Amino acid sequence: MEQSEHSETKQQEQTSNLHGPELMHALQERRRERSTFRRALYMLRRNYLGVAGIAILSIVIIMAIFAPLVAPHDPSIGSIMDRLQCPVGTSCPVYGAEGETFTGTTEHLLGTDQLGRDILSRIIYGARISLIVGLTAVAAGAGVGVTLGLISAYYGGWMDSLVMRVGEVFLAFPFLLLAIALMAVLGVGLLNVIMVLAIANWILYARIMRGTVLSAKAEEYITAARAIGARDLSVLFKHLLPNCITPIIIFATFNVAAMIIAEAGLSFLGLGAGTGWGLMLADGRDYVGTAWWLATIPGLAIMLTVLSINLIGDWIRDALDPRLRNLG
Amino acid sequence: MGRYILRRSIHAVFVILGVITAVFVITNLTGDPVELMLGEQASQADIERVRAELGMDRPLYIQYVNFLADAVRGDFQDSLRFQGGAMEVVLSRFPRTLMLAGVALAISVVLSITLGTIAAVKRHSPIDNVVMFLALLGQSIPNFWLGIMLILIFAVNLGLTPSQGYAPSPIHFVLPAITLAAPGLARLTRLTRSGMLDVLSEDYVRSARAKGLQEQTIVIRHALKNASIPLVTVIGLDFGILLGGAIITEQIFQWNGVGQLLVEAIHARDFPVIQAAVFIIALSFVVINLLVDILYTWLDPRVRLE
Repeated sequence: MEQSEHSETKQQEQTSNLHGPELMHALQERRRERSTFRRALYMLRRNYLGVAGIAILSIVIIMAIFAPLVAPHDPSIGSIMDRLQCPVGTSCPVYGAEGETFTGTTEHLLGTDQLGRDILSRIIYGARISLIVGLTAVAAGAGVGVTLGLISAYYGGWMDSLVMRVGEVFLAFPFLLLAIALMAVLGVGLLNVIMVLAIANWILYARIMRGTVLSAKAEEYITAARAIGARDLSVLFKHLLPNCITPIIIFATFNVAAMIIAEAGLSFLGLGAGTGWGLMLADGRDYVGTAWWLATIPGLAIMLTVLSINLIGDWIRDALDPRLRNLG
Repeated sequence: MGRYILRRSIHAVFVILGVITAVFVITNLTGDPVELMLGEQASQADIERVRAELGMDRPLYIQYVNFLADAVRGDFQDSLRFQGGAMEVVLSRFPRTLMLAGVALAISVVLSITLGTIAAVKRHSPIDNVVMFLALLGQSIPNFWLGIMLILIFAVNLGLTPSQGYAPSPIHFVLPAITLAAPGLARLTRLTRSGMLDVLSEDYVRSARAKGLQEQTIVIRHALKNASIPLVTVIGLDFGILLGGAIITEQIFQWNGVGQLLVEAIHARDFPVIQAAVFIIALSFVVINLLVDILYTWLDPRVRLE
């Protein structure tokens, strides 16, 4: 309570330094932020799927952060004696022993892979790769795309033409094809995957931003800001960016899910980060007839994580701007 | 309309030139493609020899001009793994990829329009909720996992379909086409539903109801016809996603199309085939989007006037 009063006073102090259109704009902005946040929370109370999404994603994030504490085994070390053990509660033939059956134990809750490594531990550590790639690829792609979209829409002219023509060439490639072609040249690795996904993706952010800024820059508050002598940088990043960011936030949320699938897809083809859920799935494909859990479990992990992000995306979109449903 | 088509076609030609440039830039991204092609064990003498053979010892701008001139003629040099030109190898596999993407697109369009329309008409009913949840699930399932699960269930356990391989028989298409169609199907279902919901609240639909037309006629002839116009663009874009997705699907089902060829070429460092495959997929994407744009102007004359 005390803290919130303190922040209110601080905000009031900040606004008291403003005058004219800037003050009006800041007040409108604050009112809008408060009401948007309240609306989002209010909608979440009625949105069970949104709550489920947040719950699932929280588990995945906690798993990723505390992997060394949560994982029961070392994900990279396995015993060949323990290879291809099925998950607890299921039974399977013993590998290399005709007619013998093995029943899954609590030692390896989700079973073991072809090298005897614990699948649960690999899933827990794999969450790190998916989340790191998903979040950083989106941050990088959005950072570049939003900046270029903002600048090209604001200044127009040759800069706008250049960004959009280059973007059209990027859009001429199906997303995965461009990512695969770039990975083929750059080679596998976590940093390369992030870079490649960001390169293949920036134009989508640039186009969304450009479209929003083009209609926003004719608004009165922008004219007012320019009239009182605000510099271009200030207009761009203090006025236009905050007012045009909503479609970007919504698209970026869904895009994290898409990037997680893309990273897993690249890993599946042997062109990814070199570890993670996609690679587990690719390894499991060779055993699909004998050890179903190898491919099934990492796929479920990807699906649940992606589903949770999509559910959160739906909730954020409905809360921020339901008219933008095509962005999902 | 003729002028619009001409303008769009000229634009497409420039995009294709951009695609060729991008393929050249990507190939030269790390400096020396010959070193990448031959691997770390190649001797300096071998690298120099191949570099001279491929004309890569010349200045970069001359290489670019030569590459552009060759690419326009469809000449991407000889494959390092197969007999013959890289483009011939790619084109020999291309019909398989195109057929798979075509069947997947047909499944995706027919099912999504049906399901999306039903969901919109029965808004907030259990059918709507189930369809929308399945669509959300479909968007969240990685198609490479779906493919493996379909193999596990329908090929390994039930023995109803072949688990992999290409053959020109419908049964061989079932699992790969469903796998490839799933993400687009889910997205298109959601878009059809939202488009139909917009259209169903329009005045002309209300007028049609007031005239006493049957609900079926209103939905199909008045609402769906108008709601499907914006879907045409999405379907065109989806075809590109299908061509990209085919790379993974072909790998799962050993389909032996351009997608699988591309992945194999990447692992074997067969750069001429990589360039030809990337070019041909991107080219088909550009051409299909051009056709979609032309179709769109025919469906919606307002676009031409703008």
